[in-house]
Amino acid sequence: MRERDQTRKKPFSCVGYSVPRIDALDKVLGRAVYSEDLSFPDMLYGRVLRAGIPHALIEEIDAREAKAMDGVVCVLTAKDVPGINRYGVAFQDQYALAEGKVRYIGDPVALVAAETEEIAKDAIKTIRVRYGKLPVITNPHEALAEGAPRIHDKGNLLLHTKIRKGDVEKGFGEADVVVEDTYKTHVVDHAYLETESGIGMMDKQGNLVIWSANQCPFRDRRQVAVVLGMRENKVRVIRATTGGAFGGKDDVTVEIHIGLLAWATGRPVRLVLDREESFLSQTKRHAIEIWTRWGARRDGKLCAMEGRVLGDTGAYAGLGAFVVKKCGIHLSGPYFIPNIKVDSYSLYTNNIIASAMRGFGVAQAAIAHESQMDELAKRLGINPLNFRLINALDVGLSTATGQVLYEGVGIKATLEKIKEVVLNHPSLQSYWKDLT
Amino acid sequence: MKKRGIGIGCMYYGMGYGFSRPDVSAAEVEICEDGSIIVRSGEVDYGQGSDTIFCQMVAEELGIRYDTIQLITADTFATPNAGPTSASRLTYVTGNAMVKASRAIKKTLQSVAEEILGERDLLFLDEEIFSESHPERRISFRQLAKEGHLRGLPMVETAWHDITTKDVNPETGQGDAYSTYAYAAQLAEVAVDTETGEVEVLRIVAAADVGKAINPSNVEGQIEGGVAMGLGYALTEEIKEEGGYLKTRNLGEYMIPTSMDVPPIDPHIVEVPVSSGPYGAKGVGEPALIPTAPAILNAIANAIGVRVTELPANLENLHRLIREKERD
Amino acid sequence: MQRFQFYNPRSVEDALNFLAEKGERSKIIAGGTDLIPGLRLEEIRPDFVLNIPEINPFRGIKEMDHSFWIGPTTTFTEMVESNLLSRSFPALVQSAASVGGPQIRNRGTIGGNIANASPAADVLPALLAHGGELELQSKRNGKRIIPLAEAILSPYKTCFRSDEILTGIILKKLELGTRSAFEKLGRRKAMARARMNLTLLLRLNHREEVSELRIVPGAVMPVAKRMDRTERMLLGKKPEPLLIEAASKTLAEEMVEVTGARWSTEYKIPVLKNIFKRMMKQLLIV
Repeated sequence: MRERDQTRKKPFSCVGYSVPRIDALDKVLGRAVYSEDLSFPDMLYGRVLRAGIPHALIEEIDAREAKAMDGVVCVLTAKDVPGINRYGVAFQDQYALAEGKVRYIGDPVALVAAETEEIAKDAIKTIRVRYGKLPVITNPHEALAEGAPRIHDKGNLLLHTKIRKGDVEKGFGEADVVVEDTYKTHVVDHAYLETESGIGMMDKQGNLVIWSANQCPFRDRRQVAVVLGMRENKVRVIRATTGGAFGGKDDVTVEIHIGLLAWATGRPVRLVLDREESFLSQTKRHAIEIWTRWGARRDGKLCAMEGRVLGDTGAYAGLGAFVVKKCGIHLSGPYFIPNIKVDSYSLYTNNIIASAMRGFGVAQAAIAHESQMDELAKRLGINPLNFRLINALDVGLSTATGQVLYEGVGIKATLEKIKEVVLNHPSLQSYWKDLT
Repeated sequence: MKKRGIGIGCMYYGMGYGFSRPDVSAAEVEICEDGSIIVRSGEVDYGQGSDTIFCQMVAEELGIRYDTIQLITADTFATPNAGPTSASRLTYVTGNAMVKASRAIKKTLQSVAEEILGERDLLFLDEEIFSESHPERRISFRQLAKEGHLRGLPMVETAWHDITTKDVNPETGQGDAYSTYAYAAQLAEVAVDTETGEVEVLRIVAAADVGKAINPSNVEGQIEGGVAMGLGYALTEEIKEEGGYLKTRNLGEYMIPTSMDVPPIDPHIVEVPVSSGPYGAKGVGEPALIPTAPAILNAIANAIGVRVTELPANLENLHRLIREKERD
Repeated sequence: MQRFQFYNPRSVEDALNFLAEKGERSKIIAGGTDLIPGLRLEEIRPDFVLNIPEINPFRGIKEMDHSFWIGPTTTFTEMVESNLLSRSFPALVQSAASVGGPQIRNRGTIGGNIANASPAADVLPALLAHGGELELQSKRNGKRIIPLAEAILSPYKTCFRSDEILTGIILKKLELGTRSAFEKLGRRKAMARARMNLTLLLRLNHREEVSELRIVPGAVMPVAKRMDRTERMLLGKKPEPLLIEAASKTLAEEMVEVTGARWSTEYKIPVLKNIFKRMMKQLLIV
């Protein structure tokens, strides 16, 4: 059964075989330990008070009633943060607990740790926050408008990325067919089965230990340490079995809040978001508006493309700037186009934060470039699959960033595979009689 | 009336972070005195199956069983940093670190085995090391590990793999943005009910170029999961916000496709290897999802001649487009 | 989860006694598929929860001389699997089969669906079309029987008194030759709240004229009801395509008269018409 690997001149013994997953049994038998399955003596339950209002100044927080409640062990607000009240993977523009103002409905304003989940929930409801409402920006156009209210001091433009390859004017001059449209993608959630969750405590050596559902314990450690004012080697983040993430646990989710509560109470604290809190406070897939124009010659060759990408990154950066950048860079699709001009803008709005999600901007780009390809194919009278084969990237050709590809370019191979399936399948072939 | 159509969706995807963002991964392989193996890495398997394929890679290099490896992951006190599980990078980046660490320790073991067996053409297979030309000259992996320890040789190796690229020109965006790219194409067949705007996806044919499938059924699993997610993205899933407030509050309102909605998926693994990947491998996590929505949208256009430019292609949006077309 | 007392009555009398005393502060649980989410979301805060599925005479499907009796804690799965119902009320069985997914159908009950009175309830329109009647019992007043059409007052509100239990659903047997159909439109194929559903019940006389017609759209109005005006348009007439087309317009108008114009009306009007027309076509082919 062993196949020959030509490059290595010896058979594979394990790689390339569909061996059973090492985590399969634990998962199907319910033995896998997710962070919500962990519990410790004296454990407290954490709960976060969310802003519930998209853009406002915080005028006053009154937590006296919550603090006086039986079973409430601590209530924390921004002023209780021991380190630097800022975090963010790439841009530290987010507050562990809101300071001065809130920028979206999910902004955390206060934390409670209590003896039971019910008490924590009830305590949160007694915290009174007086807000001074600010105008709300709900889309990138408003964010870009002159005189728009600034969501962050530095303004609403997070990142502008440019692609300039060849000469688009000249390229469109050669085009026999030009297709232009605007594509608007919507917001979706990762909707993993396991919501954001974790548990943490201070150990006997004074280390902060956190188990959580995450995508990178090291990146979480870095951000937790800063907010807690601890050195990174005193912060231990462990990934508990994680029930899906898809990019949604790439940014910090519960880790900093758990750290703050465990530090403040000296007791183990569990924090699990329910679905509604996950929906309203955690990151999403970007809504991106893509205007794009493509030109092709009568022989089927693409000659120019131009695009403008507006990404609604929401209230904080997260990884959003990179998502929108990646969208713009991939907007020309897996095709060789000699002349390209793309501008991508990642913008702050008062919507829920948009950050990493499986596909990372390319899911949106593909909707635009594949629609454009079909519309061009239709106007040129070429079968859509063949039209893609004509233009597919290959060894020796360059991407939108002018990167010449030297090896491993599989787009033609995947297209040929699809073609083979269609040609061997009479019912599929009947749709595309022009496929040969 | 139900109308049918097919459509294609393609993509390419830059592996990892690119653009000079640090993109590194570490792995550590330790051989115990009895020849059992501990692998430590900060890598995170949140369901995609990386734990299994890394064990396969170490097992491949050392000629041992993959399922006896003690794999310790994602603990900042116990494992070296492998970077995040994102950008479809783990197979490609951490996989290389796994192979490198395994090969480093294998090199040590090889030298011990050469000394003991007096042969150089050694194979590591099925927990044994033997000469290809004189197969009777062999030593068990367990015994070899013991010999290594007795000689005081390094029986733990850490490897670091870095795919960080140079940045591109900020004014033109020109330069080598990514270390390598993955490619995928999918075909969707749909039936559109022109009376209600309902779309039924009848079939997805998915081809993904993964360079080398370390675990084919795992790759197929990724493709199938990606297709289901892409189907929801195209048709039913939507978080609605209004004036900064959230309108979609639970999974009763947020429509993830059920098993009844996901059609038969026909996954095809395409292997165009890349020399910078372990065994030629690239990632598949995101390439599995990206082509699905465009393929469905193109199939809808093929079926009813209507181009959806505003997502999702849900009942109301699609039916509005159908009505507009009828009016024209 | 909030705190409440859970009471398991031993008999119907026991349950009625309990409600006579504590009904105002109680909620009845059957399958719990609506009640439990309500409790979790704290939309309801009862002091007592009365558990009735264990009470024997509340469950099952029986054929009487002129009617069928369905116990209130009969699950949707039991309805779907019932040969008696499938033979006599195919539309009702189809509506039960369209509820949620297998887990919900295994737990959820017909009585609960009625008592919850959701505007999007899947089986209510089918029951209305079949002229369902409800048997209610209380300690104070004994039994009373009311038509389902009068039982639901507004979304999530019935005329049931706090000391009453729904003890049975009665469906009169249909005249021979009556055809029925049900269609549900959801955003996905399972676990979907109805975007719209429609139940039709039709009988033609020997002259191929409509002698009986009941039309009940669901999930488009606050309370599902028969669309009398549209029914009357077709009664006594031959259901020719032009007439059906006209009736579909009236049907949409009747719906809009109840709901007023909303963001979704633009979608619902043409789609309700389309579904009505194609279901009529199907019923007439049979």
